[in-house]
Order: sequence, then C-alpha cells, then structure tokens
Amino acid sequence: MSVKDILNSYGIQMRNEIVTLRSGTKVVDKVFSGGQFLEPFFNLSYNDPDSLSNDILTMVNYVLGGNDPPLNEIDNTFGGIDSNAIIYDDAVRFHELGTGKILQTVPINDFQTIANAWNDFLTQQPLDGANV
Amino acid sequence: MANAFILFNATQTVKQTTGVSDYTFHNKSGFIATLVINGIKYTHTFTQTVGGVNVTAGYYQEIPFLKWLVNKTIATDLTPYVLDMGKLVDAVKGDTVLVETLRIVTPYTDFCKLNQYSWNYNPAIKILDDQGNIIIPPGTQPTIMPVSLVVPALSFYSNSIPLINSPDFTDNKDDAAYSLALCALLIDRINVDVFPLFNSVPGLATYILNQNAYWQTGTIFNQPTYEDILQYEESLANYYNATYSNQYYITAQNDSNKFIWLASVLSPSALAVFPLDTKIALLNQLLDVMSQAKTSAVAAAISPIGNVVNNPFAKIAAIGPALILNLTASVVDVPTQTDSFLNSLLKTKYTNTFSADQTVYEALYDALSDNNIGILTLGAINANNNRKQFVLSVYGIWKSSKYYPYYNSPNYTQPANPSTGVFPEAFFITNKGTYYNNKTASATLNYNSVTTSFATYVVNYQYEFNNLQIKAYKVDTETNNKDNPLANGSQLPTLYGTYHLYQPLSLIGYTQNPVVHLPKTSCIPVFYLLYAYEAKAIQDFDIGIMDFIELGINLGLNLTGAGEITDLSYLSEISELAEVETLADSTPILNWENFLGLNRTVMITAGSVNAITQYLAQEAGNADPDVQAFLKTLNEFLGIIALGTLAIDATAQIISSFKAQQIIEESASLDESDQLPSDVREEIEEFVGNISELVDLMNTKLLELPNIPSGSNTIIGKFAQITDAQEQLNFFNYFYFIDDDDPLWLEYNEIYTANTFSDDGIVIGTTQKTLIDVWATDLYAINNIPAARNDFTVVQSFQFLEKSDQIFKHVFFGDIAIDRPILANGSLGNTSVDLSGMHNPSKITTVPPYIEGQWNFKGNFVENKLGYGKGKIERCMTANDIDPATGERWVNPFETDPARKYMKTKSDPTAIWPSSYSTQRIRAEMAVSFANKVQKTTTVPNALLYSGTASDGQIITIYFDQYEKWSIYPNNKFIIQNQ
Repeated sequence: MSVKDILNSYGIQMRNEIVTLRSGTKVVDKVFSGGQFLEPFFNLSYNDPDSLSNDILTMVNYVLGGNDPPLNEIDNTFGGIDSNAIIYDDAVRFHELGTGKILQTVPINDFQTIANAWNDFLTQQPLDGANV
Repeated sequence: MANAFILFNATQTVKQTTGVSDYTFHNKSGFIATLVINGIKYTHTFTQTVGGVNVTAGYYQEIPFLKWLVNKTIATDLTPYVLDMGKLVDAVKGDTVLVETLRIVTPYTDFCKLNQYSWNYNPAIKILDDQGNIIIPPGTQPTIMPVSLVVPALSFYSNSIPLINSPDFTDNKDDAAYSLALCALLIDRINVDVFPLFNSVPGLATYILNQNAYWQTGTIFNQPTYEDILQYEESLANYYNATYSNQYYITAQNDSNKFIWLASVLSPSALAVFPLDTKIALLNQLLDVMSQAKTSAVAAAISPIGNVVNNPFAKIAAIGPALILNLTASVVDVPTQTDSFLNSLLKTKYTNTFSADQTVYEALYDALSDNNIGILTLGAINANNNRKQFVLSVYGIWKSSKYYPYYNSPNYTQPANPSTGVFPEAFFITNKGTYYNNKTASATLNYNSVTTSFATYVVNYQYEFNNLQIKAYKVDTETNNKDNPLANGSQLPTLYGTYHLYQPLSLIGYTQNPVVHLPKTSCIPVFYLLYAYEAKAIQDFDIGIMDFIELGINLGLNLTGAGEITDLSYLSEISELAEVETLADSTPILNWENFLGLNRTVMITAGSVNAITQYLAQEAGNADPDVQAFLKTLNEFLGIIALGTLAIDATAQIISSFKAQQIIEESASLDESDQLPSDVREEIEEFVGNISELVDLMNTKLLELPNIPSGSNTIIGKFAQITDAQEQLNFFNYFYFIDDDDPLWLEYNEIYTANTFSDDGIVIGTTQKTLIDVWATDLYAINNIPAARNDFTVVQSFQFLEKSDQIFKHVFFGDIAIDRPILANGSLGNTSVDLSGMHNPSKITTVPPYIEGQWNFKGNFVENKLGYGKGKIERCMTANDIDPATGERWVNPFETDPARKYMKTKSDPTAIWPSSYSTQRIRAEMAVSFANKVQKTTTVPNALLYSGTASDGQIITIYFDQYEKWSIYPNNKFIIQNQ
C-alpha cells in the first residue's frame, strides 16, 4: 500500500490552516486530523519535527530493527494527552488512562509510515508558525 | 333695434348701448364690468366695508372713486359719482342682447377667445335665474371672438395649461383652466395698467423685462393643485388690485416705494439682479412701512379682485413678509453680495424702540412670524413658516460668506488648513481671540443628559437677542423621579455666553458612557440656534437634545449616528491646537483651571501635543489592532484637549480623565517600541485627576444603585476595601460607567460556593464568594489589561474554572497515571507511567538535586518572544507513587544512575506559560482564553477541541477529553525560538 492508501485507510488528513494572531499577523498552523487517538497524539503532543524525530521515529526504528524497548533510559511509553501510547514490537497501542485497556492498535509499520508522513509534512514549507 | 347689455344689480337689468362709447364684460358672468358715458368711465364695485366705511354696490366714476380710496372720509362722499341709471335707455323687445364670457372648453386651447352671445330681447322671458346668473336662451350658439393680450400673458397660459391636462391633475379642470385664464388676464392688465406706473424709475424697464420673461418661460407651477393656481391668481389679483386702486397714490410715491410694489411681484431669481443697496433699502423701507401699519392698527387685509382697499401702509405690510423672503432668498446665490448683505443686517435699525437697540436682522426676524398651528401639526421642519424661511435663507447666505469658516471666499489669498478644511482668513478665525472665550463665549454647547435612580438631569440652552448680539443661557433641568413625587423639578438658567449673531458654535452630546457625540456639521451659527430654540418653545415640548436634533435636520446634523467624535476640525482650529506648531515646546496650550471644581491646574504643552501628533502619523500604518485602538483613544484625547481649551464642562472633564487613564493603560500594554514617550505620558497622567474625587463619585453612584446589598463580599463592600489608588481608579473606570439598571450589578453580587486551592491547584476547601471577588482578587493579576479584566465573560469563565477540581491541578501539579497496560493477549504488561499537564514554570527547576515530587527541565528548551517555552521535563516520583506490580514506590528500571532511579521523563514536549507570570496571572489568562475560545474540528470521540487567545496574544489550546477533563495550555506549535 502506498503512503496515501495507508493515510486514507485511517481517515487521516494533514493540512495547512491559517490562524490570525491578535496582532493581526496571519500564520500557518499545520493540522493532523483523523485516525482516532492518532489525532491528539500527533496534532497536540508530537507536533514539532524535533520531538517527532528524536522521541518517536528513533524508537520506532529501534524496535523495527529487532530491539526491545527501552532505548537508553527511555521506556516504551510515548504517552499522549488523553491516552497512553505504548510501542510494542508489533504495534503501537493506545491504552486508556487508569485502566490500561486498549483503545486502539496501530500496526508498527503503519505507525512508522504515518509518523514519517507527518514528519515530512511538518518539514515542508511553509513551516508551522510561518507568516502568510 | 338697438344693442343691449346686462348690468349688475340694476333695477332694470337690461339696458341699451345707446350713448355708451365703450364697455367691458365681466369675464365669467357676462355682466357689464365697466362702461364709458360722455367720456366718463364707470366701474362696478360690490357692497363691502372698506376701512370701516360701508360702500354700496354700484357703478361709480372710476377716478373719483380711486381718489376717495386714498383720502376717504365717509361713504356719502361717493354719492355724486354713482352712475345715474337715467342716462341709460331701457332695452325693449326686439333689441339684441349682448353677453361675452371667457371661453373655457376642453382641451382649453381656445384661451384668449370669447364666447359672444346675442339674442333678441323679450321682457316676458326671465333673463336671470334664482342665483342671479344670466340665462342664455337654449339653442343660442356663441360667436367665438379672439382677444388681444400681451405676449407674456399668452405664453403663461399656453405653458401652464398642459399641467391641468396631465393625468396627475385630479381637481376640476374647468375651474383650474378658468383660474389660469384669469391669471393670464391679470398679467396682461399688469403690463397694461401697472408697469407704466413705474416708468419714471431709472432702470425699471430691465426688471419689467425680467419679470415678463419669468412669466413666459419660468416654471411657476410644479404639479399644481387647483388650490395652488387659485393662490397664484389671488396673488396677482391682490397685486393688480392694490396697485391699480392706488395708482394715484403710487404715482405720487418716491422711487423706492414704487420699487416695493414692483418687487412684490418679482421672483427671487428676478430680484437677484437688483443691486444690493436697493435690496437693503427695500428691506429697511418695508420694515418702516410694516411698523407704521402695525402701530396704526390698520387691518392689513387685501381685498379680492373687484374690491378695493384703502390703506397703502396696510397693503405694503401685507405684501411685506413675502417680499422680505424673496429679497433675502435673492442673495443666496449671489456670492458678491453675501458678506455685505449680512453686514447690513447687523446695522442698528431701531434705537430705543424697546429696551435695547435692535439690528436689522432682529427687526426682520420680529416682522416675520411662523404659522404656529402649522408647527404643531406638521412639526417645525415641515410647516410653512415665514420666519423659518427667513432664517434658512440667511443660513444659506451665511454658508457662502466669510462668517462660515469652511467657505472658500474668492477674497481669500491663503488656502484652507489641509487638516481641518478651515480657511485662516475666515472672519471668526482671524478674530477668534475677540469672539471666543471659554468663560464668556465658549465655542461648545454641551448637551448633557444623565439619568440616575432619583432624577434626570438635562442640560440645555436658551437664547435671546441682546442689543446687537445674542445671549445664550445654560439651563440645568432636574426632573425628579416619579417615585419621589414630593420633590419638584427645577431650572436654573445662567448666562453661558454672549455671541456675535453669525458666530459658529459646536454642539456636543454626552451619554452616560464616556462617549462624545458630535455632529458632522459641528459648526452652527448662533442666529440659527436662537430660532431653533424659539421654534422648539412653540412646540411646548420638553427641553431635550432630541428636540434640537429634529430641528437640526435642515443643517444635516446626525448626532445619533455620529457615535463618537467625528469632526473636531473647527474646534481644533479655534483652539490653541491649531497654532501648536508655532509654539515653543514648553508653552502650555491648555491650562485647565478648577478642574472638577478643585483649585488646581492641569496643563499640556505644545511639545506633548506635537509628540502625540507625530506619534499618530508614525503609527498610522501599524496593523496591530491594539495599536489602532490606542490611536483612536489618543485622537479622542486630542479632541477633548480641543474642547478643554474652549469650554468648561464637568462632564467633558470627567471624560478627559477617563480618556487619559485609557491612554496610560493602553500605552503600557503595548510593546515598548510602540509606547508613548515617557515625558508625554507624564503630562497626560496629570489629566487622570484626583483619585479622591473619583472615589466620591463612585461612592455616590453605588449608594444610589437600587436593590444592591451591602457587605464585605458585595460590590459596595469591595470598593470600600480598596485602598490602592490605582485599583480605585480601575474600579471607577469600569463600574462608574455601567448603567444603574444594568443586570450586571446583581450578577456581580451573586453569592456562590467556590473551591479553594493550594498553590499546586489542588482543592483544599470551599468558600462563599461573589463575582466581584473574582474581579477584584482573582483577576487582579490582569489589572493592567482592562479590556480583559472588565469583560464579564472572563469573570464568568474564571468562575467555571474554579468550580472544577481538576483544571488547575492539571496545569499546576500535573497528572500522573501509573498502571499496567492490558496486552493484546489479555495479560498485564509492565508498569507504565504516563505524565501529562504541568505547564507552570514556577514549579519546574533545574537539576540536580532531585527532589521528591519536583519537576525538572530535561532539555530541548526553547522560548518565544512572549516568554512562552516548551521542552522536555521530568519528574522525581514520590513515595506515594506506587508501582502496582510491586506495591512499592515506583522505580525507573532503565535508569543506571542511582541518583536518578525515581526520575520519569514526560514523553512528549511540554509547553509552559512565561516564567514571569505568577500562578494568579496564569489562572487569569486561562479564564481569558476560555472566554474567547473558538471551537475547532476533531475526530476523537467525545472530545472537544478549542483555540483561545491569552491577553498577550499567545494561542492557547483548550481540550476537553473523553474523560471529561479540561486541559488549557499554550499551543506549542506557536512556541518557536525568538518568534
């Protein structure tokens, strides 16, 4: 499946929105929407290329390389704003806070594709926060 | 057989024409109107009373009769001149009766033709019907005969008759056509009988030609009714009759009086060609004649056609008002005459006539009157009033004169001030020092209306002529509340100023909110204000600004739509502001003494005004809405400064204080580079006023509020507790301008149960409080941002936030979830710790040491220009953070450094509020953002996503998750290093 097919299969959209600041300046807001718990995970928690690259993709590649978490002192918890995302050797699972129940499972290859696509989008011009 | 005609009211009605050398028929009835016997002309008159003398109907010798009209004594004096019917031979059977009438037959194109009837006389056949009309024998066909009239009369008729053939004309067409025919005949008779009377006047022929041209080509009627035509006919008849019947008097008059008679039938456009001196002379002469007519108590009635009048003064007096209006209107469009005409009206006309001298203007004003009934039924604007027309004409002349500061006179050598549009050579600009004075001749009239729970106060003005000037009196009216019927209203008129008649003033209206209302046309002459005041008094309405606004419509005023200061250019021009560029920086342009009644002085210097002006120009292109709002406030402040140099008004001074305070606050909230220079700001601060005065005002207002409880938590109690001067002013600036009946007063006093929090945002108890507590205490941290603090939705938002036990905790303490995830196979996984929240910079420190429960910066920290930051943080887990797998304190199994064994890194980067913000400020900013939040789309089930804005402009993320928990924190997408 192509990247586009994978994104479509999760109902994911990545788009540039324009936000008008109180100063009147219009700036770019890069938005990740769709994909259930993938949305707040990427849109609200991991929305800058540095943290995406350092914290997410490094770990994903590490796991896909046949290693078990952890990497250095960091465990396999990605966290998130309204669920706890944990990476496993086969998938990233979103667990309900407090109960640990699985809310959503994303195969690790799909997760890698989505994270790479989001990283590519974030590093494309115009960048987040750029003046319009 | 002889010819015969029919006489009015004769015993023997039908007479032979034998011995009669000439005769004419009455146009409509066909009776004989005039006849000549032995060279003597006899004219018929009806029975009437003339000047108290009864005149019997009959045919009188014309010349003695006219002389009698001039110097009449008793009716019997006319007896010798009555036609002796014995001089006429009775008609006999077989004579030919002749009757001629004007031909009035649709489509009325046969005008200037007569129906000439003739039939054989038979005394046995009735010749008059019961109403006295001639009976034309059935079957008698008229012979149609042409009549020779002067060209203007023929043209008048042919130009006018299509108007009554129009479908728009719905009255009786025969009656209207007959009336138009009579008008044309009168025009003919004026040309034949009247105009020659004026032949001795030099240049008169030119004016006669102009008037005839007006009758031939002018638009006399515009969609007329029969009544309109009848009125014009009556005017012509009155003129003709008056001049004809007084021809012996007129011919004996000097040229000026002859001019009066002529001018009375000329149109304003025709009068426009009169020399100015002639017009002034005519006006003065009219005043003299009207005064004589008035003092001799002679009725100024004008008789209908066919009748006679006997008092020349009365006749001139009767035509006087219309002529005054026409003469005045004739100047409006003659720029070369406007200045001189207005100057002439300023000259003394009567000395000691009453208690004081009187100008020509005042004399003319007095000589004219309004139709009071018309005013009452149609309103002052719509009623047709001589005095109103006169004032409006003079206003039209004023607008094209040196007295109107915006008129570009051809006599000027300098252009208008580009910023104000005012011409520096205008009379009241070059002489402003003479005519304007803030104590004796203020340039502003401040119409003020304030309603409190006990009374309504209205400020208005009344005016009166005073010698050669006009005096204005200020009237403070207090109307007591109906709930207090024992008290009476009171009016305290005090002299406000003494003005030149043509002096322009500006009207200003204040509302209870600190808003100045000013009309676009902020420049109105005093003589018009005097008329408006008197016309308003006729209506017997309550004195109030709305009445004046109605009267101001003719001047294009729009007080209600102005909203705020729209045009202060004239006031600026006559204040010291207009000269500020030529003054030394240290020169005070405003010394505001007795500010708010206290003995102290506020001043602003030319240097500061220049600095403000430069600032306005410099920042004009700044797109920042905060800066734009600030520029607006500054502009308004400049306007108030202009007012302040020209008026003493308590309300204006309160508003200037308010505007000054706004400037200080708004300037402080701008970026440093956008702020006012400090020395200018310090001068403006002087205008803020003495706090104790404002406290008194505020206390008075609070005590007058209906149904507001007192107590420490109430708005009254809270204000009493404030001791900080700045905070007292903040309170005043917000609450003083809230209307007494606004429900906000009760909402601010509503008591509710609120949580109390530790510094970490953890609920530690509850308390009873009110929203005024929120405003005064919880939002105090944003007291320098009144737009946010004084927004009631922000107050309500704070109330919402503090009712939650999780919102502040999430931000100031963080949420820690330690659990064992359920794996895909259903078994439990290793213990996992999820950290979220914690956006409070004061609770995040650098490491080491590692302190239990302490949050530390971990790395990758960036900060934007507003001071918002983001980066990795970690937490030292406490003994209370138990690992469910072991039942012991959680330990990081992957840490090799023993010192870091309890450290847990928050996985995703954390956005934090600026380190300069206190906990209180962050809580207030959360409320500000929550109040202005805008919903965004999200696909997460049961979740809501919003975007809000803090008072400093930072975008704030507001998220309501599936667990029904709120997160409110800075959006980390907009935290970019140094941006």
